Amino acid sequence: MRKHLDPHIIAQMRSLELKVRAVVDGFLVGIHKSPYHGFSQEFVEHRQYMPGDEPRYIDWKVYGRTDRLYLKQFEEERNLRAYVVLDGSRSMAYRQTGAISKWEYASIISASFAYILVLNKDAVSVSIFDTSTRRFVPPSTTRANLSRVFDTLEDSLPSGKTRICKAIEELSEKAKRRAFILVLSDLFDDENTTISSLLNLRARGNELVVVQILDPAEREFPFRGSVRLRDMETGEELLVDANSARDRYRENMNSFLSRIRSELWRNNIDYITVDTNTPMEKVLYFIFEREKV
Amino acid sequence: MFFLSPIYLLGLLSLPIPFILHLFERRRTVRVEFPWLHIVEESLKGGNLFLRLREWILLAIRTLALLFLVFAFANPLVRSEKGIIILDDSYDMFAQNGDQILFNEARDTAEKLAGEKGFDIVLSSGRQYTHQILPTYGMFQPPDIKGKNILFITSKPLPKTKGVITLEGGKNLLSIDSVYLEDPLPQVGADNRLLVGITNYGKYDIQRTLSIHSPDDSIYTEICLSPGQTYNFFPLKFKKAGTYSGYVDIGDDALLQDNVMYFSFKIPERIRVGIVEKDSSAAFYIQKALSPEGIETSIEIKKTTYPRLPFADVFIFVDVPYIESGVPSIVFRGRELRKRPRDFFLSLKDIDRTHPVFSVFDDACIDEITSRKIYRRALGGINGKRIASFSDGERAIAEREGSLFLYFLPSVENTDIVLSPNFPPLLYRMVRYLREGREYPTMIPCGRDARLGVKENHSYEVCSHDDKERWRISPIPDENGLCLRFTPPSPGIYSIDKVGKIAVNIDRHVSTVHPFKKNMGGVPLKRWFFLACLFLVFAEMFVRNIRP
Repeated sequence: MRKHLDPHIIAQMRSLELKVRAVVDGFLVGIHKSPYHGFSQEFVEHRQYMPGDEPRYIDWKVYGRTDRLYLKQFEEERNLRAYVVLDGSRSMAYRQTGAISKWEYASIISASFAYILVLNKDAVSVSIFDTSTRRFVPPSTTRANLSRVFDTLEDSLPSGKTRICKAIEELSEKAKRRAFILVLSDLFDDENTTISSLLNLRARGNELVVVQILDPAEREFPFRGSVRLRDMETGEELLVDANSARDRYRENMNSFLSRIRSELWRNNIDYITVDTNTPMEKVLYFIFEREKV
Repeated sequence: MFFLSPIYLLGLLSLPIPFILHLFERRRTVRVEFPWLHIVEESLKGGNLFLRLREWILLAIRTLALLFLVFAFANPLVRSEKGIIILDDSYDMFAQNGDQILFNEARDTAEKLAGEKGFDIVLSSGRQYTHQILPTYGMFQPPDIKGKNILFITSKPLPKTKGVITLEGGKNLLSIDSVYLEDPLPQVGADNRLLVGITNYGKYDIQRTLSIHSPDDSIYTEICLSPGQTYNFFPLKFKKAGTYSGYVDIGDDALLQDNVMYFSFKIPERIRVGIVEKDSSAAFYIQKALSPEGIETSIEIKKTTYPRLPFADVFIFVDVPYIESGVPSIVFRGRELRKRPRDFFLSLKDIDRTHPVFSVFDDACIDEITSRKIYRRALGGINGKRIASFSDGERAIAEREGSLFLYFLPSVENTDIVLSPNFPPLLYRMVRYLREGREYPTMIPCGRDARLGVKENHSYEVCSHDDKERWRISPIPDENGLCLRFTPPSPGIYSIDKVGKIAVNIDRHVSTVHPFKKNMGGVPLKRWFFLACLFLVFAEMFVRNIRP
C-alpha cells in the first residue's frame, strides 16, 4: 500500500479538482477494491454457498439456525442521496501549525467524497453554512452537478459565526427522504444544541457521519508568554498567560471532545476528530468503511 | 520630612519610565487570532483578571521602587523628638566680650536651655562637650538647621532663622580666608601683588576698611565685600632682602579673631648662578636670558668650564655630564642622539601647570611656549617628576632631587624656543625656584609644627609678636641639616633670633572644625528607603514569576 498523501503536498496544488484526484487516487489504490459495497446496496435474498464464493458475504446467523452456508445477495439502491454539510464559518479559516486551513481541508474532503459518489452514480448535495445555510447545491448524480459542487467550494470563503443547529434544521426540511449525511465542522458552537440537532437528524433515520476538523494548535495551545487572543468570529480579545493556561486548556479541550464523542457514539452516530495534518485518505476510509476503521 | 541632598530629587523626573515601559510591554504583547475563545475563557478561571492585575501591580511596584531609590539618595530626615543645642566653638567664640569670653556666655545659655528642654549639647567642631574647652582655631561653619530640632548658639549675626540664638557682640560676618603673594617667588625690586581672600557670610554687600600692616608702612583701603568669597589685590614692592612680615585686618568688625591674618615672606638675597658650559653659544643664550640688557635682576652669573666649579647658589650645566654637586642645578642635556636634527623637530606639551615654575604663566604664555619648535637631542632618562613633555610623549623637563633636567640645548639650532619672549622668564623662574623652593614655609596654619632651617647648632629664642610669650629652643637634625621645630600656641607672628619670622594663622583649609553632621536633630530615613527599595525589587521578581 502506498504511503498516504501528505496534506502539505496537497496544499501546494492549485486547483481543487487536482487535489481531489490526488486524494481519491490514493484512496482507491489503498483499498484495492471498490468501496461501494458498504452502504449503497441493500439486502434482497439468500443463495446457497458455492466454492469460490466470497466468504465475507456468508450469513452466519442463518448458518447458526440451519447449519447450512448461505450467501447474502444485494440489490443496488438507485435512489440513495448523500448530503455534505460543510461548516463555512470564520473559525474554519484558522491555520496555525497545520498544513492547510480547516476550511481547505474540509472542502477537499467534501469534494473527494462527492467525486467518489458521482463515480458510483449516487446523488450528492453540498451545503455550506455559518449562521444559516449560505450556499446549497441540490442533490444530483450528474457530472455537471459535480462541477457545480467544485465551483461552489472554490468560490466560498469562510465567514460569519457558527450556528450548526440552524443549518441542520434547514437541511432536515430539504432532505425529506432517508439519506446519508456527512457533517464536516470544527463544532465550535454550543455543545448541547449541536448534539441535540445531530441526534434529531439521526432520529429521522438518516445515516450520519460527523468529522470534526481541528488545527493542531487548537489541541496543543502552543503559544508562549503573554498573548492577546482575538476571537475570529466575534472579534472579542482576551489577554492570556499562555504558559499558565496551557495545561488547563488542553484538559478542557479533551473533555469537550470526549463529551461530543461519547454522546454521538452512544446514539450510533459515526464520529471522528481529525487535525489538518491527518492524511485525507484516512478520513475517506473512515467515511466509506466505518466498521473497519 | 526634609531632604539633606535635595538635588537628587531631580531623579523624580525618571518616574514616567515605568509607565513608558508598561505601555511598551502592552504594545509588545503578541496578538493572535484564535477560532474559539470559549474553552480558553474556561481555562483561565480568574487567571485573566490576575494577569491584568499583575501588570498594574508590577507598574506600582516599579514606580514605588524608583521613588524610594530617589528618596534614599536624597537622604531624607524626619525631625527628631529629642532636640540638640549646637555650640559654636570656632575661634571667634573665644574673643573677649566685656568680662568674659563669648564662648562661656554661649555655654551658660546652652546649659540653661538644656536644663529646661532636656536637649543635648554638642560642639560645632564635632569634639565632645566639656566645661574645659579650648579654641579650635577653626573657621566658622554655619550648620544646616532648617527643619530640624536644633538650637544653634553663636556670636555670628546669622540671618534670623528659627533655631538660631545670636549672642550680643557680633556685628558682621566676615572672615579673611587667605593671604598670599601673586608671584610665590618674590625678589627684591620686583613688582608683586598681595592677594587677600575674604568671605562675607551675610546676604548683603558690606563696606569696610582693610588695612595691611607691614614693616615699611601701613595701607588702608576702603573695600566693598559682596556675599561669598572675594579676592582683593594690593601692589607690593620689596625694597630689601630678608623677612617681610605683617598682618591684614578688617576694621570695625566684632569678629576680631578671624579678621586678622598674619603673613611672612622671605625675600632672597642675590642669587649666584654658575654656568658650566661646553657649548658657548648655548651659554650665551642662557646668560642673555638671565641678565637682559638694561634690566635690573637679582641674578649674578659666573661662567666656568668643567671641572673647576665656582661657588654658586644654582648651577646650570650646558651639555656637560651632570655632577651630583649637592647644589641645585639646571641640566641642559644634548648631543646624545646622533641622528639628524630634523628627525626630532618637536614642541612642548603636557605642561604641569601646578608646578611653581609654570604656575604664574597665563594661558597665552603657555600657548606661546608650547607652539615653539625644539630639536630634541637627548632622551629623558631621568626617573624624576615629569614637568613637561615633547609632543612625542618623551620627557622634555623633569625634576629630581632638587635639580631640573631639560632634554634640549638652548643653542643656535633651537633659536625658535630661545628667542621666545617667554624663555627668559621661564629660565628665571627655574633658577629662583631651585634657590627658594626648598625653603621651609614661612606661613603655617595654627596647630601645625613650625620649622625653620638653621646652620648653627645652639639654642634660639622664639618670641611672639605681642611679646607675651618667649622661650628658647634647640635645633634638631633633619634631611636638610638642622632645623628649629616648635608648635606655636596661637595665631600671630613668631620671631626667631637671626633666623626669620613665621606667620601663624587660622586657616579654613586645615580647620579642625569638622563639617557639621548633617543628620543631627533628625532621624535619618535613608537606610529604610534603601531597604524598602530592595524589598520592592524582590517583590517585583516574585510577582513577575507567579502563575495564576
